[in-house]
Amino acid sequence: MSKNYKQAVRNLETWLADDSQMSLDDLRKELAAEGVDVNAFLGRFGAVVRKGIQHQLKKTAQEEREQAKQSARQLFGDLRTRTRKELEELFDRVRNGLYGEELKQAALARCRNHVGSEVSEAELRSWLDDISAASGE
Amino acid sequence: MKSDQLEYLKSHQQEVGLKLLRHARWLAATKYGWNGGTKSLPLGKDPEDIVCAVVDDYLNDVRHFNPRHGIEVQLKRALSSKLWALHRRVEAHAVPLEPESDDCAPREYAADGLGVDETVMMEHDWKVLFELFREEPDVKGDEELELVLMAIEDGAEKAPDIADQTGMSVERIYELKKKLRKAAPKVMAKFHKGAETLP
Repeated sequence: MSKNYKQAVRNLETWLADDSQMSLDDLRKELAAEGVDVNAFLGRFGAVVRKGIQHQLKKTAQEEREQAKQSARQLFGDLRTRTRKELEELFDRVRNGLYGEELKQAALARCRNHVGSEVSEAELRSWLDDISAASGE
Repeated sequence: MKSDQLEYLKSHQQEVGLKLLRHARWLAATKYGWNGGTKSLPLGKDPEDIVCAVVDDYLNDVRHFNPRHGIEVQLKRALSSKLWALHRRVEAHAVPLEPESDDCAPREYAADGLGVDETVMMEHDWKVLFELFREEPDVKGDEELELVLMAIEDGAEKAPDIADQTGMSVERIYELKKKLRKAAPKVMAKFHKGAETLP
């Protein structure tokens, strides 16, 4: 039977490069035997991974904040451009249940927690922002 | 990058790091012949630099994981690509290699693994590679290694197949594999040096 040397070389390449059966201990031993300072490398590699993961986590948190803001804009429109009167009307509609029971309860809770002076425009805007962001969770 | 990919990298970082380093050294030695893959690579790099750069690229969004493929496979491909880019930079700028690296002239290869460029291989060349392994001092005369090479020539692909064909245990096959891996850079250096010296 004639041999297929091309396929045999491919098999040899794949087999020699394969590490699927190697345990962490096997890997450590082999590299150390070749003169690699395994612990030093793992320390350096670990630092790269940690720093990268921190970057990813920060990015995810930022994306979630952006998403929450976006969701608020979708529900009530852009609150930044609304006048005080419009904000008050919007808050009244929420408090009266026009946006559902969940948001109504959130609005009522805000009212209960507020004691004393009149609500400022900035506070009102912030309440609506929080209520709509919470609705998107 | 997805949270499950992050979690995998975090929880398997030692294993992933060592596998990548092993792969980088293997490619550097067999594919490019750079100082046997054990010392410095061209342009003042070393295999550790390349491995760290690859992972850094993914974690800092220079490269992106494809969710359809395994993380390790993608990291190894990226590693291969970085080494290739290093090789291209050496060629493009004619940066001199280390003085002791006479066997390390940059070459163009199409595939990973031993670095065999299938586009220029003649039918006879495939067989020659096995003969070069047999001629290597660490392999020559070793009856067990001869049996392993014969089994692969006959179509065996993995350790259990080779064990079946040779009658040896799978554990012994893995021991013998280490010897062949050790011989591979020298074999490939001879192979790439030129067909005129081949049998």
